Amino acid sequence: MRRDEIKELRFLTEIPLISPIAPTVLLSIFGFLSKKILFADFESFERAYLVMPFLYKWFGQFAQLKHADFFNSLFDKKITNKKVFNDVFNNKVLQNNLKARQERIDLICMPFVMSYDKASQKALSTSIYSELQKPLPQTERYQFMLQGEQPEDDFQMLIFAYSLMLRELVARKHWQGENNYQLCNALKEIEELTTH
Amino acid sequence: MKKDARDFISLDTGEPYQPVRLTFQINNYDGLIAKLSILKCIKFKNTLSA
Repeated sequence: MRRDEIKELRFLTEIPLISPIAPTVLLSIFGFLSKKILFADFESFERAYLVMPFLYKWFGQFAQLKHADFFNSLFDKKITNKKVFNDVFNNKVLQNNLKARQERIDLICMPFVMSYDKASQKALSTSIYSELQKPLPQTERYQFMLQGEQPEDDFQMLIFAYSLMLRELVARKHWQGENNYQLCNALKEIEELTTH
Repeated sequence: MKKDARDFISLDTGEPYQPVRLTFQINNYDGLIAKLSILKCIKFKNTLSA
């Protein structure tokens, strides 16, 4: 991507996207499954949620964001060739699994909205809280319900970004051997950081 | 035994490799192509498969 078109993107890490040695960086690969379906593949959560508002703005009324599929686990560089995953989202078995997860994902996202309000937190049902305690599946699908209205859509994309940040934290903890660490722990940890 | 944090696949921008696919429903294919053509950051390439 070019400097003038990505000047508003800010990665958490301070590694410059544009350098004299590598004047461009490949953030995403697009493909058309048909004249009705377009996909955009990203290699990290951060790239996906940073670029998504940019795509939303540019696609406008011509293409509407429907859903996001993603992996919750990290991959061992010694045993994994990441090129293996290039075609993984086209796998039909995986597609069926992802669709089955959709309802659960919608449920999981609810507390993130409510977490800003202490009173609402207390109103969290036990069923939702128990969902947050369950181990995350390896793959998930997030279904967007964008309305074409700017404030509401922005908020939904913010929730999506927050959801991915929490999942990345869970994945990192699992990688470090904390296998009992789940979304509820991540949520609590973030809350403690923001309240102290 | 804990794994070494450096052992997972990470990208040149520092974050871990975790694949994401965003899927869009196209309402106007020709309009979308025209819109994308304005962007200098996107390059088009013909391929046999997605």
